[in-house]
Amino acid sequence: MSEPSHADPRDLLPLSPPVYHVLLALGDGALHGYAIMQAFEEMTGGAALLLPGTLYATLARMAETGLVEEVPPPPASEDARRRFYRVTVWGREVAVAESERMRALVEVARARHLLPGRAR
Amino acid sequence: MSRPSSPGGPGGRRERHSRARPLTALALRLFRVAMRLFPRPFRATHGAEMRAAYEREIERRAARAGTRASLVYAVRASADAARQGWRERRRAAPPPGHGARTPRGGRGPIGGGFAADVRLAVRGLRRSPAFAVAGVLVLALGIGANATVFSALRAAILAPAPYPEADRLVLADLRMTHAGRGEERISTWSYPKLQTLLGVERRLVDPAVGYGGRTATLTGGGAPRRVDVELVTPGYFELLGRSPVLGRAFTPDEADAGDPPLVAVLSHELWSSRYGADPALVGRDVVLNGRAVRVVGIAPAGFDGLRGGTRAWVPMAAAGVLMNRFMIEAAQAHWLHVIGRLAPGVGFAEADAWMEALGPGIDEAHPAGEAGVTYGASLRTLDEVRVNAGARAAVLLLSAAAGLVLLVACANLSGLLLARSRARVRDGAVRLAVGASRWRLVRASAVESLTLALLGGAAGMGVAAWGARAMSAAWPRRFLGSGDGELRVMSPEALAVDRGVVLFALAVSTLAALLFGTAPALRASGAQVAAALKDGGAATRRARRLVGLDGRTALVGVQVALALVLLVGTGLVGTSMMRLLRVDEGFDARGLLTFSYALPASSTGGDDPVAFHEAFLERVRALPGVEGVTVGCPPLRGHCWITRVDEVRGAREIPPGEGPPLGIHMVGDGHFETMGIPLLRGRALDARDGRDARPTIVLSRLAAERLFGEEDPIGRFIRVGVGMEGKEAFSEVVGVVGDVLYAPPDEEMIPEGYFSFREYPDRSADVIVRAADPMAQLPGVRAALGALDRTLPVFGASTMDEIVAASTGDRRVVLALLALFTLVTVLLSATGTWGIVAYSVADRRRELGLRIALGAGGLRVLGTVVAQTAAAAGLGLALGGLAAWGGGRLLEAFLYEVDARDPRAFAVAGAILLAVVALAAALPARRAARVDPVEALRAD
Repeated sequence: MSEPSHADPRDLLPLSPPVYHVLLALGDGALHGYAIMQAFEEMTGGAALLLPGTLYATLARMAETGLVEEVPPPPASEDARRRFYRVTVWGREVAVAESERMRALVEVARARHLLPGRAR
Repeated sequence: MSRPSSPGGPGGRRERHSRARPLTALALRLFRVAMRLFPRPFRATHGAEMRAAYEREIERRAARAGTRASLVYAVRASADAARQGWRERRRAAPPPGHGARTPRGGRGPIGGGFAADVRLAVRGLRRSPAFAVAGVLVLALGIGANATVFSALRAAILAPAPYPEADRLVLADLRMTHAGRGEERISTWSYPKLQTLLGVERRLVDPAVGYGGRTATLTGGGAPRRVDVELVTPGYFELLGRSPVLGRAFTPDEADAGDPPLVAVLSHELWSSRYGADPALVGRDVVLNGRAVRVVGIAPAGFDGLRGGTRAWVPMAAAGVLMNRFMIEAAQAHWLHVIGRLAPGVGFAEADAWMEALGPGIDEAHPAGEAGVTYGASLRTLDEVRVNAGARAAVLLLSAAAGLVLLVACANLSGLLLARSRARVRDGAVRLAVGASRWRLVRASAVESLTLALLGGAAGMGVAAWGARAMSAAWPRRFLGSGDGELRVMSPEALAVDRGVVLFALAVSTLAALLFGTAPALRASGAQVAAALKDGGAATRRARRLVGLDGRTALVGVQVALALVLLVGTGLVGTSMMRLLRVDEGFDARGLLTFSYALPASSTGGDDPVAFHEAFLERVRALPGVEGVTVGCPPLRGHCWITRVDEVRGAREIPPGEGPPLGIHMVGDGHFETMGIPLLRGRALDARDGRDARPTIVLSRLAAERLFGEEDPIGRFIRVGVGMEGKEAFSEVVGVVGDVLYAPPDEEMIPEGYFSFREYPDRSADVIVRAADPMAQLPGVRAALGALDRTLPVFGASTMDEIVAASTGDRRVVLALLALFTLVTVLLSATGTWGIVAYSVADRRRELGLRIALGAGGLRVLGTVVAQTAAAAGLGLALGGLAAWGGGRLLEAFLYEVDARDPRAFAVAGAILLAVVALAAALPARRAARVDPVEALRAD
């Protein structure tokens, strides 16, 4: 699970939606799978779903590529058998890069009047 | 890093399981099944947690938004899990030559890969559920029928014998030649002749073992039970690769008839059911035919001998003690079979030649003692012996019928797809316009057909599972053994859906997709882009001229033709069945019970069986509800004893062995009355007969006619080939009775002769009881027998109604399936015609409206619509008629007093189909006549 620090985060872009969603849902905290599902639903107001099959397959792959890492459950956890994950430094870099990419796209969309907003 | 996971889950979840309502339980199950697609290591790491997350979410949604919402979620989440699991699995094991795949599919949706086509196909089917359901149903019937019949084909014909090196197993036969009669037939072996064969040095068939079947009475350790026993020579279990799971097989020194080895190997079934699978039974004694026999081994589970149904094996050398000494001593007592394996490096032809060369030596060592009779020897392969002609004919006929069902299903579906593609020509044109290649369109259409076919195949497996179960229950007993009944060929349990049947169904599904999908696929690519975009209708019409309408209407013809073939076949077999059921059996079959018992030589009644039988019959006669009781060979199951008439006193001399055959029956007093056989002349047999030295005989009508012609047979004397100790050779004819069918009704009837059972003391008895409720008499019968000797079992109990039904059993099964297949095809033809005409009417609304507006009458319009369909149906009838005419040969084995080309069957079947198709076409066509001209012009 070493993070390949020499790599450029932009190599991984664009991220697949589930990967990006997991990175967003995790933010700075450490969450277990079900909590990620809930956090994502809250964030999107239920507009999009992160289904368990996709979630756990994505988490496994992200752990493999070092975007997230497993951490010991917090002492107060209700179910110590669950796996908790948090975003690695590398994962954070990738999330930032993807967000930048998206922002650039959104700017373009605004310039084309596809979205209301300041940029012009 | 990986933690132990507990798939069972913590107790809390289990509690929730138990409270879950059925729908929720279904949702949980669905997900668990989908999760199986994940590779095992992945499941070990994440499975429990994934499932827990899913379950919590299901409950949350159920509580918040209701069951329906949670079910929608369940389906989505399960589909997602299946998809992800599949990807994960491919990732875990990348195919050779391929590196790791990119995380996402890669190619975009417009260029699109195969997966995109499948998605498109599924979406298309979901958008028209009625079409999808109809298509899947039609295919399920077609594929299910074929898979069912295939399971029978495999079990009855294709499956190899379940023994090691089965292709090198051979049966050795004796061949009896009767020079006087010019007769040659395959014979069984006698024990002395087998010994001669086994004594030959350097045999080319080695090892070789003898086997023969008998029933024996097992007493002790429970109620007396009649069991099938195989008498075998040492080496039997080794040859068949079925070494006992407990104890041992027979040793070479247990072949010594001089010191009969009273040992036995029991079947696993008997050991389990009667002795509670007690391992200590090996080494203990059981009582067989009144003799203590030491159990030395237990056969493997499921093995029931070469003849099937065997519960115990004893060394053949013990037959002289356990059964009858003649079985061992008499060189002319032919009762056993010889099976062996070709010696290493020896071919069949070589071994067969060796065997034939051996024949004369065996015959010389044991001369027949009958003038003109010699025995030779030869080999048959096990595969050759295993063929059951009846089963083979039935399975081939049903395979052909099932194939026709599938063809009709495909034609039907092809029609549906073509009709549907009318609406999609425009869709295809759009895709051509945005740059899709024609090949892509053909492929998309092909993928849709394949998707439909596979869905149909999956549903067809359900049909097949049900069909195989039904067939297994109804499979005629006559079809289980080889032609001579001495070799079990298959067990009904072999009729089942397993991997082979699933693979077969998969292949059939693919074939079906090709059959019904080709025309629509060609059609999909044939559209003219500009024209279609401008006016869907015009393009449709142009395309129609190419393949569409002509092809579509032709499909009506195809379906009608195939349906006619099946309808004619069913009509012919059905007529045969009716004729068979109308055949007069010659006795009153209703209210008869038959069963058997046998007195071991060592039993109380063994010394004087006639006295025992008389005492028993007396007790049964006294039972309340019994109207009559007798002993005698039960009808319709085949003869018990056939011999020949050797001499008619006062008539011209009959050369030895050339007299007419005569079925021999040893019957009780009042036999004809009890059986309901009419007495035509003279008197019946009664208590007077069989008590003095001169035997009396009653002849059947046919026997009297063959032997005496117009003359009165009463008081005449005949000599038959039955040796009765202490009796005169000639028997006096005292009566003539009606003919009775002893063999199944489709076999030729032979003359019969009846003696009193007192003439020929026999320790075994076939008893027939007449009572209003025959089966209800069985307990009383058992008690009556037990009162005389409590070690005797009653066996083979059945009602005569059951025997009558079984005598037509093979036709019954064939007819039932054929009728079912026919019904399906006729229905399919009707719906197919209906659909095609309905589409055609909808297609031509505008034109028809115009015609009506211009003053054409309703009838005339109707005629326009139906004309083409009628022509196609007519052509179909003609072609179907020809095919049925040519294919009649397949039916011949199942016909009885009906010609395979009976014009009446053709006429009736044609009329039925014509009526059905006319009705199916008329309903939608009527709509054509009622088209409102104004509305029709406004449409489109």
